[in-house]
Amino acid sequence: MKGKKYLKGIVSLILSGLVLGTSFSYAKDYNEIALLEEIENEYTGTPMAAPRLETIAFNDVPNGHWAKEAIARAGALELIKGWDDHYYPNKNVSRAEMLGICVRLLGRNQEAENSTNATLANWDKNVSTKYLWAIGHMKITEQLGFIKDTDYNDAVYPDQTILSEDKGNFLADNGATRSEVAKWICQTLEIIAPDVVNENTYDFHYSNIYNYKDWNSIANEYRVYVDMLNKLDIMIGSDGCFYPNKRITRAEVAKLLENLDNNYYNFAGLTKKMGYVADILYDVEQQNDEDVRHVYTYFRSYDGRIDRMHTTQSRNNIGQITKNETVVYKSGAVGAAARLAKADIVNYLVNTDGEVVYVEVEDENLVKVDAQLYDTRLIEDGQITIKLKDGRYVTCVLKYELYNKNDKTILIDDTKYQMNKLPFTTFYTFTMKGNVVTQIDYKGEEEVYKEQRGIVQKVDIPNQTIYFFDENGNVVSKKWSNELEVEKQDYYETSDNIGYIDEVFKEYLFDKMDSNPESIEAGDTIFMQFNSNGQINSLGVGTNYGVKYGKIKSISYRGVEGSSIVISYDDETSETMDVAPEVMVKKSGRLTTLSTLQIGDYVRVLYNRGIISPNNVYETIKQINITSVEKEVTDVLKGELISFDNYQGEMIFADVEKLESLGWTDFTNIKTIDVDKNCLYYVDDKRVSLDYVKEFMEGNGTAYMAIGRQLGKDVILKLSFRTSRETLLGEDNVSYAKGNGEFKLTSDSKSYVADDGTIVVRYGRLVDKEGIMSPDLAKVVLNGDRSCAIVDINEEITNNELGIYRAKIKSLVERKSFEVYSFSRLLDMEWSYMPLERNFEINSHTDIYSGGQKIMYYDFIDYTDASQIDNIYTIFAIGDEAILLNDIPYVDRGITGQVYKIEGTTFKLKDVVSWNKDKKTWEEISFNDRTMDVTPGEPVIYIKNNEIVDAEEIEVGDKLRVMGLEDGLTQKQSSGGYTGYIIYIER
Amino acid sequence: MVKVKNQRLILLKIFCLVFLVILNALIFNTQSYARAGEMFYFGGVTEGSKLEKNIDKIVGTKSNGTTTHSYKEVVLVDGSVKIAEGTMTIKDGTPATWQDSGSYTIAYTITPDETSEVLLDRQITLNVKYKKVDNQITKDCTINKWTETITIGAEVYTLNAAKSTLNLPTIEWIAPAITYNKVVISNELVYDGLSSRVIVTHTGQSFGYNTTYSSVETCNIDAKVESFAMNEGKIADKASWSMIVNLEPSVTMNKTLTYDTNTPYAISFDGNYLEVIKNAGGLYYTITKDKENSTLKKSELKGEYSLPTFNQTEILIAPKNIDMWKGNFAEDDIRKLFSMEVLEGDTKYYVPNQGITRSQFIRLMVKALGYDAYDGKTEMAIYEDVPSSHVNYPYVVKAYEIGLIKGVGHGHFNPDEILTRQEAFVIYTRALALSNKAAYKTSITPFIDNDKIADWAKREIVALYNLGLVKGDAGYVKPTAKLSKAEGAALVNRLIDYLREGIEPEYVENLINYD
Repeated sequence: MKGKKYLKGIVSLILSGLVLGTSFSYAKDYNEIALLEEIENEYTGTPMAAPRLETIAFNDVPNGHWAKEAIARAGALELIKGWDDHYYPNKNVSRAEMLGICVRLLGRNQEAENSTNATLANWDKNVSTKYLWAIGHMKITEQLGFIKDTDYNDAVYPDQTILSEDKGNFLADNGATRSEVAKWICQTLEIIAPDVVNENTYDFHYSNIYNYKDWNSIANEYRVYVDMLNKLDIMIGSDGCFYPNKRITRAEVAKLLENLDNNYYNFAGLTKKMGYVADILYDVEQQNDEDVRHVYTYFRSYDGRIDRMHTTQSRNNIGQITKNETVVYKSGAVGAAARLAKADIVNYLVNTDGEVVYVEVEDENLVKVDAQLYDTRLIEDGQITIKLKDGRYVTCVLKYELYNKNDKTILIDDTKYQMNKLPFTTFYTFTMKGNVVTQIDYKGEEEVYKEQRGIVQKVDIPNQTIYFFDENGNVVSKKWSNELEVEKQDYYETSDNIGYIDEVFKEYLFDKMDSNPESIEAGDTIFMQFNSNGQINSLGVGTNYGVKYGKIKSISYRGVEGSSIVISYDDETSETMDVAPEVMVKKSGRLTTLSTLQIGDYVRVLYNRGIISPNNVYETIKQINITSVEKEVTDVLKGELISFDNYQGEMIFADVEKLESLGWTDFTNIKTIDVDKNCLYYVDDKRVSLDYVKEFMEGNGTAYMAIGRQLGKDVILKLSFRTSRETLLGEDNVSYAKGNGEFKLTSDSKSYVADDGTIVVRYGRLVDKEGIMSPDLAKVVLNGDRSCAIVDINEEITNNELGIYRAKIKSLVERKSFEVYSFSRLLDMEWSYMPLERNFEINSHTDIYSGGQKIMYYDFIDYTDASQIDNIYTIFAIGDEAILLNDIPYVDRGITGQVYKIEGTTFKLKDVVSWNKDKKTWEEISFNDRTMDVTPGEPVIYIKNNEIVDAEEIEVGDKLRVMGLEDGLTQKQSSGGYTGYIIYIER
Repeated sequence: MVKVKNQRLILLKIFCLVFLVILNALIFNTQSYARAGEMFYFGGVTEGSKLEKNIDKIVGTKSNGTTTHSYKEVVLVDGSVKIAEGTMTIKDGTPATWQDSGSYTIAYTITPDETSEVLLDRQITLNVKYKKVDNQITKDCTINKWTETITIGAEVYTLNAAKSTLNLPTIEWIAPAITYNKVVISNELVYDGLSSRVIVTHTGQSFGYNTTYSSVETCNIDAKVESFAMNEGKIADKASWSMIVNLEPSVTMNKTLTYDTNTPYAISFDGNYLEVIKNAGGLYYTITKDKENSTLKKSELKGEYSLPTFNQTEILIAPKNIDMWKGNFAEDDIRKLFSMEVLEGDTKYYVPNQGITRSQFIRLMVKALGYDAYDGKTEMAIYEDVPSSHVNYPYVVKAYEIGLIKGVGHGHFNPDEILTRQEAFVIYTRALALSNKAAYKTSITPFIDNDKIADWAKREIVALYNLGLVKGDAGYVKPTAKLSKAEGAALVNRLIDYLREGIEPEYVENLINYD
C-alpha cells in the first residue's frame, strides 16, 4: 500500500507541476486535490502560540526587518525574549544573555530560573541586579564547562567596577564576542564531539578559518569551534574576515539561531517539514455554549504526502477566547494560522506532541537549494526527486524547458544531458520557485582541501611572493613558504603522468616535473595549496605555450644577453623578439646554436605568453626550430611573360634562362611555372598586384623570378619586372653595405642599389634588400645603370679545415682509433712530411674504402688476412676525427680551371693552369686553347667546403682544383684529358 | 483514483498540444567525410580528389562509394628507395551518418602500372569500428583481408599477412566549420622474398582536416626496414642489413575564388567569380640512416615527387544590382557572398550600414559553412523567442544542431538584436573549435578595453588573439560595438578565406618542415 500512496502523491504533483509549467505562475490555475487523499499526519496548533505571539510583537522590529523572520522563529521557540515590547535588535548580546540563550537551547530554562530565585533569596541587595536574573543560567553553564569557575566568580562578584577585560576578567554584562558565541553554541548543541575539541590535536589541514584574512586573530581555544560553525554555514564572516572579537548583536543572534536549523531541531525534538498549503477547510461548531472555529490546513509536504494541521479558536459565553494556534510568519509580518492561504510555500516546525509551533511562508522568490539529484526515473513526467543535505527527499516538478521527455534529457548548466551521462557530481544547486525547479546548476562535492587557481602576472623571487589573476580577474598576491614545492612540466616533456607521484612515493627519485619558483613565468596557470599559515605550500604550474611561424628579417647579436631577431609573418607584419642565450635552436631535427640562424630562414618559435595587463603582453621564447628546405630558392630565372592562366594558376614564360655562376644558361623556349599563393610582384621597385601584372606586364620587360619548390613542383616566390638594359657583373665581394640596399663591390668604386623589387638571395633564402652585408660574395645582375635586378649571395668556400694525410697504419684499436708511423699532410699542392706518430679516431660515420670496396668500420681490424696493419691510406680528417680513408694513389700534381660544360661524368674546364711541381708555380698549359677535360679517377674524392661531396654538387661556372698523377702541361701537349683523384670545388 | 488518472491523461494531451516537441540528436553534417585515408598510411600518396562542386550538391552525383586515384609509394624492401606507381581504388563503406557506434568496411586495391620499375600489387580490406562521444569519433580497424606482392625484377616479395600487423587508431574531432583528424600509425609489415625476410616497421602520425573549402592530409612516418637472410626456411637471428627512412606524404584539396572579367563590353554583367578546384599530392623522403655498405651518394639520401592534377573550375552566379555597394569597403565580401549564394535574394535589401542581427549572422554562417537549413519536418523549439514562424528559424535550429550556438537556460536567443563584436568572435571560435588555444577561465585579455569584454567572451577572444586572428585596433577590441551588415559579410567571408587557404600551410608547409 505504501507504494500506492507514494504514487498518489506524485500524480497530484505532476498535475500541479504541469499547470505551473504552462503558466509560470504558481498561484494561478491552482488545481489541488489534496482533500481526496489520505492524510499522513494529523497535527494541531499549540496553546502556547497566543502568548508567544504577544511577546514577539516587538515595536522595534518593523515588518520587513531583515531579521524579522529569525526573531519570530526564535520567539516562537521561546529561545529569546525582549522587554517592554522591544527587542533592541542592534544592542549587543551580553554574555549573561548569551549563556541564557544556551540554557534555553538546552531546554533547562525553568531549572535555571529556579536556581536564580534560590540564589537571589540570600542575595546582598546592594549588589547591582542588572544581570542577576541570569545567575542560575550562568551556574548551569559553568557546571557544563562553557565558562570557567573563575568566570562565574567574576560574574557574581559584588563590585563589578574593579573588574576589567584587560585583566582577563569575565564581564557578564559586556557583549559576548563572536568567538565566545561560536564556542558556547558548539558546546550547547554538542556540534563537535568533546574528544576532537582539543585545538592541539584537531586536524586544521582542511580548516575553513584560513579563508579569513584575520584568522590569526582567532584565539587558539576558539579555532575549532569557528571552523565547525563555518563548515555548517551557521556562523560565517563577511568581507573576507571573521571578526572573532566583535560583539554580536541581538538581531544577529536571532539569525544565528535560525541558521542552527536541524542542528537544534533534532536536538530539541522538533521536525522541520517543507511543502506548500494544498487546501484549507473551515468549520464552525457550537459546542455547549462555546463557539469553536476549526481551521484545517492541508500541507503537501515535499515527499508528496498530506499533513493536516488543525487549529482552533473558541469563545465561551463570557467572551473568553481560547486558542490552539500556531505562529505564522508571512510576507515580513507575524500572525496566526489565518494568515495562511492556498499555495503558500511553507516550512513548519512540529514538536513531539504533534503541535505545529511555527510556520514560515517562504517568499515566492527564487530559492537556491544544494541537493543531490536522487532519482530521475520520473523524468518523463517532468519530475525529479532530490535529496537534501539533511537527508530528506523532495520530489519536485521541473520547469518545462529543463527536460525533454522524448529524448530523456535534462538541462544542467544550460547544457543538455542524457540521463545516463549526467555531470560527475552528487550535488547540484536547484533554483526553486515554490517546488518548481527553474534551473539546475552544477555544485560538486565539498572541497576536501583549499586550492586556488590563477594566472600568473608576475613572480617576486626575493619576497617569495606571486601575483596572479584570480578567477574574477583581480590581481591577488600570495607569499610562499620555504617548503614550497613547484611542479612544472618543461616544455619539451610530453608525459604528464609524473608530477605528484613523488609526493606520494617519496623514494621516487627522478621527477621531471619538480621545479623551482624561478621557472614560473607570467601567463602560467597555477594551482596553489596553502599551509596552516596561509602561505603557498605547493604549486602546480601549467603553461600557455604557442607557436609562431615566420621568416627572419634581421638578427642582432648582443653577446651574453643573447640576441634579438625580427620576424616577419605571412600577413607582412613583423615583430621583434628577444632570444635568451640558453634558448634551444634546432635545425633538421638536430640541436644547433643561435649563430646558425640566417636572415631569410623560416622558423617556428615556441613561446610562453603571459597577458600581464591589457595592452601588456609578455612572451618568453623557449625554442626556435629552423625549418628545412621548403621556402628555399632553388633557381633564379629570367624570361618574358607570355600569359597568365587564371584557371590553373600558372604563368607561361618565353625565352627562359637560368642564372649560374657563369651567367645565363639553360635556355628554354616556353616554360610554365606555378605561382605561389604568397608570391610578391614588383615592377622595378614598386609592389604591384597580380591583376596589374596580368594587365600590363605580358610581353613587357624582363621578368626575373625566384623559384622555390612545393610538393615537388617549381613555384614562383617573387616576380620582378624591369625594362632597362641588363648587365651581368662577375662574382665579387661586397666591400661596403649601407644597410638600406646600397652597396659597393671590391672591384670598382661604383655604388649599386638593391630596391624592394630586387631579388636578393642569400645562402639560398629569399631576403630583403637589407640582407646584403659586407663581405658577402655576391653575383649581381644589373638592370639599368645602378639598379640591381638580382643579387645572389653565396657562401664562400673554404677547404682549410679538412686535413688530408697520407700514412701507413701502425696499430689500431678496433672501432675506436688507429695510429700511423708518420704522415704527410697535403697543403695546397704539396705534401709536407712529418716524422711523427699520430692517432686518428674512427667511428660508425667513418667511411673506409680499399680497392674500391667499402669496409665497415667494425671490419677495420688488425688480425686475420684482412689485417689493416701496414696498409697505406689517404686519410681525410677534421681534427683527429677521420671522415674518410681511401687507398687512392699518391697524387702530387694537378690543374685548376673553371667548368664551362658538364658532359656525363666529364667536366670541361677552361682557363686551365697546371702545377709545376719543380718550380712550385702554376703555369699556362697553352697560349691558344686553355681548355682541358677532366675525368674522375677510380676512386675519386670531391671536396667542397670541408666536406666530402658528390659529383652532382659541381655546377657550370665552378672553379675546380684537380689533383692527379700526371703533369697537366704534358697531358695537354699529348692532347689528353686529365684524370683527377682529389677534386676540390672552389668557387 | 480513476478520476485522478483521467485528469492526468487530459492534461497530458494538453501538454502535448501546448508544448512543442524538442528533438534531440545532433545530426552531424556528413558532407566531407570520406577523405581521410585517401593515401592510406604506408607512405604512399595519391593526388586526392576534387572537392564537391556546388552544383553537385543540388543536382547530385552518382557515387557508389568507389574512387580511383593514381598512386605512388616508396618501396624499401630491397634496401634501396624505389617508386612503385599504380592506381589505388578505394571502396569506401563509411556510413552517411554516424551512430553512437558501429562498423563499416573499407577496401583499398593497388594495381601496378606496367611501366613502373616496382610492381606493387596490394589488396587490403579493413573492418573499421567506430564510436562517437559528443563531437568526437574514434576508430579502430582490423584486417579482413590483406594480400600483397612486390615485384622488383626477378625478386618477388610476398606479404606474410599472418605475421603482419596494422595499427591505425583514428580520432576525428568535429567542429561546425571543420573536422580535424589524427591517425596514429604503428604498423609492422613482414615480407618474404626468395631468400630473405624483410620486416618494415612504420611509426608515425597523420594529421588532416576537412572543410567545405579545403581538405588536407599529411603523414609523417619513420619506416625502419630490416632484412633477415632465409635459408631452407630458417630465418637468421640478426638482420643482414637495415635502414631508416622518413616519409612525408601529403595531399591537399581546396577551392579558391578568382574573378573572371568579361571581354565584350556589351554584356549584361561585368564579370563573375569562379571557384578553382585544386588537388595535388606530394611526398618527401629522407634516408635517416642508410643501410650498411650502402653506396648511395649524399644527394640520393633525399627525394621528392608529386602527383599534380589539372584544376577544375566552377562558375558562380553574377549577382545583380551590385552598384549599390560600389565603393564600400566590404563590396567584394558582399559580392562574393552573393556569388556563393550564401546571401540570396534581392541585393537591394542588403544595406551595408544597417546592423546585422544575431539570427541573420547565424544564417550567413550556416550557409557559408555549407550546411543546409533545418528541413523543418519536425518542429523544434529550442528558443522561446525563435518560433518556427521566425524568418531565420531553420538556420538557428541548424546552428544549434551543429553546435555553433548553444542552448541557453532561459530559452532566449534574442534573434533580432544587433550582433556585437564579441558575440561574433565567440561564434567564430566555436566554428573552428579553437577556444582551447587560450587558458581556461581567462579573466584578462591583452586589449585596453578588457573590462568591457563579457566574461563569456574572454577566453574566445584570447584564443583568436593567440592564433593571430584578432589583433585589435590600436589596442582596442571594441567588444560591445554593433556589427553592420558590411562588417558581418566581411567577417563571414574572412572565415571562408581562412578555410580556403588559411589553415592549409599550418598542416602542409609548416608541419612537413617542422623538424
